[in-house]
Amino acid sequence: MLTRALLLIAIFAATLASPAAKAHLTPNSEVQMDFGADAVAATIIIPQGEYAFASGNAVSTAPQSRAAALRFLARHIAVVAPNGARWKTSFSQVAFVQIAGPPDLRAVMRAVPPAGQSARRFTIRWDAVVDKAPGHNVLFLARQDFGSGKDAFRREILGVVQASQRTVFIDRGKPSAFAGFFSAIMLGMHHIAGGFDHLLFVIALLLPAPLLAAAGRWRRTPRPSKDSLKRIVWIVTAFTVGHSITLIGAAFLGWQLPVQPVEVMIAASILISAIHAFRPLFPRKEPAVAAVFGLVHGLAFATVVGGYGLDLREKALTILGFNIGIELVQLLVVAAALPVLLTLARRAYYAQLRTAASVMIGLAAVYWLIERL
Amino acid sequence: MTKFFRISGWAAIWAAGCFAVVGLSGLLLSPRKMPPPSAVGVLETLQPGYGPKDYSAALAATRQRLDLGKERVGRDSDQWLYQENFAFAHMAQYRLTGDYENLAAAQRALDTGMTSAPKGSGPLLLRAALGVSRHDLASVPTDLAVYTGAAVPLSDDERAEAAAILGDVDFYQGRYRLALQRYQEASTLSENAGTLFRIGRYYQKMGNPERAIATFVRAARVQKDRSPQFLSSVWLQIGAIELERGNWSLAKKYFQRADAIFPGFWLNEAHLAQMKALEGDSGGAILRYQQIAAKTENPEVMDALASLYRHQGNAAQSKIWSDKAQAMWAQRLALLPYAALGHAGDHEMMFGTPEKALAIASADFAARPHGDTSVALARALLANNKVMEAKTILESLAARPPQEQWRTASQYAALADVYARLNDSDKSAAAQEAGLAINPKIFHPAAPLIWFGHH
Repeated sequence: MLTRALLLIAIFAATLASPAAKAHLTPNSEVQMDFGADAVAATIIIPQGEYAFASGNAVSTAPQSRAAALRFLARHIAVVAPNGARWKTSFSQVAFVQIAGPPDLRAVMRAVPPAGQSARRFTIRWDAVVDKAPGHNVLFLARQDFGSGKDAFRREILGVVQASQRTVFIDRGKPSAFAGFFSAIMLGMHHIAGGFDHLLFVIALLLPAPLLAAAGRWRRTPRPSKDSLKRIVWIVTAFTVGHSITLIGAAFLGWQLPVQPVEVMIAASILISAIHAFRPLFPRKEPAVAAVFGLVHGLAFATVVGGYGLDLREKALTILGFNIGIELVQLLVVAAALPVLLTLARRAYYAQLRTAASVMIGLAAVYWLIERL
Repeated sequence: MTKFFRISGWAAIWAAGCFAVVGLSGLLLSPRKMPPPSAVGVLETLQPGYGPKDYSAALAATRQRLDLGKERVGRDSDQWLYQENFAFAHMAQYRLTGDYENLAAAQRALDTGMTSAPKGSGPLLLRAALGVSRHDLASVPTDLAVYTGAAVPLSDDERAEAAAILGDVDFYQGRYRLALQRYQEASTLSENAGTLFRIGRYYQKMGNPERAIATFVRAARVQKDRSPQFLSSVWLQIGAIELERGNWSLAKKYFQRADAIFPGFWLNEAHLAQMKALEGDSGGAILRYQQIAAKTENPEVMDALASLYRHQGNAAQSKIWSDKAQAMWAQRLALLPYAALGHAGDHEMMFGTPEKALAIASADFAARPHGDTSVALARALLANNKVMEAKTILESLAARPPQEQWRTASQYAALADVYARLNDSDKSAAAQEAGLAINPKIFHPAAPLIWFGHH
């Protein structure tokens, strides 16, 4: 009979000899769809390796390579109306890009229904890659749909295509302009309520609003309440005008800056406002500063809704709704802060309170600066 | 006095501010050094003892043992003890090479031994262990019943091994709580590394990686005469656990330790080649995989290589290697059908047809209906557009009581796909979150390159 040691080793043979099998993950594709009133736009992302494997095409930045990819997509993807009529499809922005992990083939497909057919009810026929790679999945997601009030922050799955299922039927239901507009308002409200940085900037500007500056310091005697109120209205309005300008510019004219410098500038704007709340840096010019920094904050808002809407009407309604949402929350904050601010400004200890608040806001700004740099 | 208080107030506010700035900066800018987990710290202190110092030496030693066994059974083929030792030598070689011929030869030797052994005796325990190894569980309880019912009283060690093997049967039949009870019973009788490895695997699959690592390390500690091969396998196991929870750099470090302790072992090398692939060094990974494939003719390595070529978009090379692997899996399926099912199913899912993948996954699940085969079957069902069946299997995995609940990132990834197919965005997102909570890299674009690390 085997000795104990031999037995133990024999048991290891049972457990360690080779790696166990597992359900293997496959690199999958994704299609993110934007629904407009008269057209559909789809951002197509296919892992570069899977594309090259299935197509046999070379992959490079050369125009021929991108042209081959375009032909491949056009050959393997079709959109058809419920009556069988084919939609008109066109592909743009075809490129091999590396954003996270291995590179992908990315392209944007624009599909327009035949005359008389709804842009919200159709079937996608897709056999790109799945015809050669049976384990490959293509996940279809709704990104934006103004007509149903769907924003890009909620993940909504439309369907999956794979070798054994090569069509996806999509029915977005009847469109409603109100749903999209309401959704944009809610998005604006959520964005500013969740993004403390914008609110802290406004609060930092409001802190010294009831005070007068003299000799490089804030005086202890406050302005009359009416003057303070007027000043606060100016500051809030100027900030609104500022961010609205860049938001509209980004949405309609394509103004944009990379996200990181915008975020850094926002943190810097909060720090400057916090210092101003402690010692006057730009007394009586707060509305102008609010407007200038508002331009920067608007660029950040644009990253949220800049790409919304496939046509001018939807874009305009989205921007309007989003701005209304922002203003509603801003007004709510100001309405809550105003009586407190005006009352406290008359107290002897307001200087300490203002200093403590400005230090805390300044610290938050420093934290964001370090984090975003 | 008032002035004094005012100045003190300002000073206090600014001091607090300065402290906070310095503190925050320190927090954000200081390098974050994570102390190694205490269990791994213990493992660091353990040194290998006796035994072949590298793969070549170990292979030479097993060949010597095989030659001796062959000579003995050639001379006295009806001596079941000789047959058992010969079978054991084959199993030891299988452990090094992963060659299914060794398992088949071990099976033949044990069957021969059984025919010549008196009734109620024979190489029953080893045959039961081999049954688990071959994924053929049907005869294991019968062999163990005869073994434990023998007239000769068994030692605690022997009873412990029998209980542990029965625990394996329960584990692979999906009776996880019962499996744990049997493992614990075995440990009470005789605590040894083999049983602790099984307990470690139990915790690993029940979503408790910390306890799994601690148990694997305990296995290393209780093994007094630990060989380089054994200690290397412990590092490999905990590396695999780190890989399964997305700690790729830590996993690589542990695989390197495994490789350094027992150099030349292809399985360690394959894990390291895989880490190269995950780091984006496809060229380096391909070179290493090719060297290992040339050395071992191992179809798992060939599949990994084919997958990497596919990832690169090199369809021609991918096909060459997947075809080679396909031929090897066909051979293995013919030789040891149960043992090869899981891997062959993986191969079919990636390179073959969904129909064949489903047939294989169904057979594997029927033989061993546990978590791994459930997930593989669900994936195959999905590939064949049988979404509701996949849903039932995966939901039942998660619906069991805590001690019985299989919890791996791959099952939640599959569940997320199921819900995606059913257009249930919320449930799909929740399943994704559950998967990410276990393994933050489960959906990493490079994750499909992981072929090794699930032991």
